[in-house]
Amino acid sequence: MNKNIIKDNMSDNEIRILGSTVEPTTGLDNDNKKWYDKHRKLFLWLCTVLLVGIISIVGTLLFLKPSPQAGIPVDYAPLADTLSIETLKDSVNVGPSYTVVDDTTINDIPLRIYTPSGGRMELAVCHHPEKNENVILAAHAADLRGDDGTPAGAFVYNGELLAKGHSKYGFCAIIDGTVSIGRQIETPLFERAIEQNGSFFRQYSIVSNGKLMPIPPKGKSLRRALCLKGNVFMIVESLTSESYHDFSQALEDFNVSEALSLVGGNLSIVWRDASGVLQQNGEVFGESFPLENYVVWKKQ
Amino acid sequence: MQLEIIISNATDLLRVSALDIICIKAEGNYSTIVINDGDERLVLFQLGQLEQMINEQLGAEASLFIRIGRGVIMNREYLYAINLPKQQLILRAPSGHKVTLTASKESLRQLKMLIDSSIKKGGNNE
Repeated sequence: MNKNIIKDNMSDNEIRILGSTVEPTTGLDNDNKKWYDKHRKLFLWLCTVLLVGIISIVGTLLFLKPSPQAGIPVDYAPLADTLSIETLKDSVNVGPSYTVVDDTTINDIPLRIYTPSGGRMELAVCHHPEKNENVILAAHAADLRGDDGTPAGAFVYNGELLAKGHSKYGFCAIIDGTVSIGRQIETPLFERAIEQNGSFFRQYSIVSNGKLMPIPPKGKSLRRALCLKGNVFMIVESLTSESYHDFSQALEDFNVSEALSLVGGNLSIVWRDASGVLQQNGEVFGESFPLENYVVWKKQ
Repeated sequence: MQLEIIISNATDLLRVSALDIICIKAEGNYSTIVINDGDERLVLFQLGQLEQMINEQLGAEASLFIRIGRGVIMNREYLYAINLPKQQLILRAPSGHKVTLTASKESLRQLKMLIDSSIKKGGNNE
């Protein structure tokens, strides 16, 4: 037998009964099979082009989309015209430094308001801010990721970039004693914080320009926020578990102009009362995460 | 009925009854003939060439064999099981010798349909 004349035209999806002259069975009827055979190359070419097109579109969309941090839900996209950055410089200490704590109720939501007096705000990476004798108020600032313990979203500490990301559009920048909070996905304050040895972190912006901002549904919890009311920065927390929406609504009704959520209200907060005694509430974080961080007011 | 197959080249010759062949498996440019006693013989022919030999030597009796895709010619008398999800085709000789093969789902589906239809035809004749 001449091997060269053998032409094996079977495909893997066909069967053929030997000794018969019937064409291999493919599951297609004869007309369809002939059409398919005739246009097979064209068909495969079209499929390839379609596939490349789909991959290109999906790839472009993924490339353009800001990558959220793992497990951290993304803020709803901000509108460009709602951008608000309030900037002021904390007054340098004149007189005693302490924190005034007031309880109030707004919309049936009990709130505790911590208003520091005579201190300068800064971002601190540390485990026990209460050990610093100059501290008059300290609360956890940026959320830490559960997987690697790094801050969720961009984080600059004393000019050093420690984390990147836009998972949250709210931000707080502390540069040369000037504190800015607002809501913007790209802000020049981020680069400025790096250039001028400042600090920067991201959190959910829950009130901006005096209006509550939409936040992904996250259930109820004790809430805490860094707020700007008038020219005064303060920390407000809920004393009962609240949704972000209800908490934000209460802050709006409390007439804060900007509010940036802070790490949950069940974690520790430290303040020095008017008599100079250090007070502490909430659960202590432990020392598991090297980048545990706080917004801290210190007397100068 | 002559069901003898002779596979011969310049140096080798294999003479075997078609009824004893469980299957023939493609091995690249060669093929392995699996006999029902468990013996396996590698022959220096491609599967397509063996298919042509069987057709020429057995004529209409060649319908004893079914080509499954590009990789196998099986003897339908030894068909034991088809498992579509696992893409398995199991052939079994009366001696208990089993050969497990893999094939595409589509080819196995067609084989199953072929066997199913032969059962229905048999039923109608009774």
